[in-house]
Amino acid sequence: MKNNAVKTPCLSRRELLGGMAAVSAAAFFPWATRTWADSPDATSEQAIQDFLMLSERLTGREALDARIAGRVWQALLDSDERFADHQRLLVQAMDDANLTDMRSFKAFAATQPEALTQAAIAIISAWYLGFTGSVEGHSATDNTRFITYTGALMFEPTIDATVIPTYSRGHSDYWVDPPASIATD
Amino acid sequence: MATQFDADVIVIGSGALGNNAAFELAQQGKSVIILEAGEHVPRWKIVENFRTSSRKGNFNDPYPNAPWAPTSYQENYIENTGDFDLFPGMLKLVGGTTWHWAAATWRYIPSDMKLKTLYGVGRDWPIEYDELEPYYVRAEKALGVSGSDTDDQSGQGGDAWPPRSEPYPVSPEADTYYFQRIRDRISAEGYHFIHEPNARTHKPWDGRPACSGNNNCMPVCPIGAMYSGDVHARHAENAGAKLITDATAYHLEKGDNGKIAAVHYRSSNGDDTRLSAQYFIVAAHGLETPKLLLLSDVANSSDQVGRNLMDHTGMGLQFLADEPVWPGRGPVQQGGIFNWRDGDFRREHSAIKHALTNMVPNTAVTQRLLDNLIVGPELDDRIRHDAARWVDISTVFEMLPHAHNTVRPSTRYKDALGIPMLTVNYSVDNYVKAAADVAKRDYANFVRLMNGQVIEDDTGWQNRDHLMGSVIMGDKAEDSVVNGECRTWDHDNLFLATTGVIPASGVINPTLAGVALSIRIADIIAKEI
Repeated sequence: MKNNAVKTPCLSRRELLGGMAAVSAAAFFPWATRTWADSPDATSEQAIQDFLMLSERLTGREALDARIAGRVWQALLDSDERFADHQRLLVQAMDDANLTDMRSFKAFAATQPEALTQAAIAIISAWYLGFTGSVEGHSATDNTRFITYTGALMFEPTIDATVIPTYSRGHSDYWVDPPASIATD
Repeated sequence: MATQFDADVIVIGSGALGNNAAFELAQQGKSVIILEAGEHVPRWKIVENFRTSSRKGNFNDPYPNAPWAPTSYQENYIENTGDFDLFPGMLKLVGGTTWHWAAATWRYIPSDMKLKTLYGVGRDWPIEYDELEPYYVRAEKALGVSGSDTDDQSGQGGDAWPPRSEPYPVSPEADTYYFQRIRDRISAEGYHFIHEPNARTHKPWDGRPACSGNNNCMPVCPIGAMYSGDVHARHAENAGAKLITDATAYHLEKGDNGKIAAVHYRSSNGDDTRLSAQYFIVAAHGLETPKLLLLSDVANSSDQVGRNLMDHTGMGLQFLADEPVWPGRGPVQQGGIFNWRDGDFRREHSAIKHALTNMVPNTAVTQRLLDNLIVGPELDDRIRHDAARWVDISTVFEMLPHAHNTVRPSTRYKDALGIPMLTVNYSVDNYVKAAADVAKRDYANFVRLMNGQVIEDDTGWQNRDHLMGSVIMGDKAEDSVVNGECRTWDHDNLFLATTGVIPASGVINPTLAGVALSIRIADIIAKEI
């Protein structure tokens, strides 16, 4: 098998009978692990504020959600021990290059170490896709961390034309017509 | 003294097929027990799991994955030893895998069932289309299928086909703008677009609401407009059937006169229970059904149990069209191109179905742009531009049954109950490979006709999760597991309600045929009890 999933415990019958109580609730109910409780608790407001400002520079947005910023930051710190260093170096490099218009990002990235480009993309990707890490095929487990669904920025550019899946535009057969914007799309 | 049984009929597996058989039997006054390895989970929890998952493209992810009832994506659940890694997305909970199936409910056409006679390859079904037709009607009503009564579903541009004794229960929903635009441009060169009959109607049916285009048939319909097997778990219970969850069947006990006497199941706390019945229906899908038979050493005098495994192994095409077609409005699929569904070419290569995928593409679109370092205002502009033009075609191929494509109980891995997991050996033959070349020529035409920019046109083989052949149906006990009634040749009170009985795969999603066969099983058993 090609994925990186955690091994299923293969218990003997005796172990099974004795050990069932020790299996965490998360094994029974995956939803129990996915709550807003993942938000950072022991980090400073200033650190999150710094990360929020960097996120707004990288995405070219003026008013990102501070609560989501905390979740993105914590997820990136937890998944890469070098992330704090890369963040600091990235801010420094952006300041040095006077990078304010993200249309220049590609040219900027060409002058930077790969790790800094990847750190920038990891931040932008988390805001747009709503998760960090890489999905490993069909694996039951991977290094991804959920951030937000309806807050994922990738839905904003199309929100008048398509739905955020599981949500609805209201009624059957509306789809026979194109979006109202079709002439200018 | 008369023998006492725990039930008239025990059904093993609470998916769409098992539950439809159980419901029909309970409704006809038989005492029925349904065994389900997993649990009942309410829809809202699955929807919340999906919304809070970082693996939204993994259709098993929102579902329970317990050590004693794992989904098929759990590591070591399937160990592959062949050329191709077969990883169908199978679930263990009340309702089974139709929780995420997109609900395509095609009928086989008569020639699909006579492949050997007409084209000299593969096997014939032991029954003819006309025998199955009345049960297709009942299955379509049970599931609430909306479809077109006028399409030639053989894809040859002729009159309505296959024959129907009754119209579809519900009229077809409106074509999406996406489907209309691609059909208008590609059909200009003779490609026949066929509306997909679907158990997800645009009008309320059997307590289900009308589809309102939530665009999430896979992995979970948030409003239950799409049929899933839990519907008939509820109907069966209301008709008097007893549903036992957390009950993994691991042994079928042989009795006198070649009959199955009992089933043994184990719960997650390790307790074992034995239940007897007059009849048994194993409805544990195309991998777990043969596993249970092999573990129990039953029904295998032909040595065909767990052989002839087939999926509709497929490939895909993604491109950007030259105009906004706006996928993502409405249901996730509506039909496709059926020119290669039937014809004399089937002597040389497999039949082919191209289906249009209509899922909101923003994740794939955005990921691709970020991979190319497109950020800032350009990223937002390009997301809208590319999402509006994204065309995704999902192709499937007809497979032939081969004895070397197998599913077996694992000799290396066991689940938390100590029951062996699965080993699969699967490869794709030259009959399919020859068709892949044909499909790629079609791809080039589609891209040309839409003046498209190719993103991916050679995906390699892909899973399609349509399990067939593994407990194959035939007209001889020597080379098949069940007869045309889905009754095992070796045990006259043991029936198999699984698409695993299907001996000739065609290119259509097999679930409706499986439900039709299951209703027929119930009728046959009801007459004998």
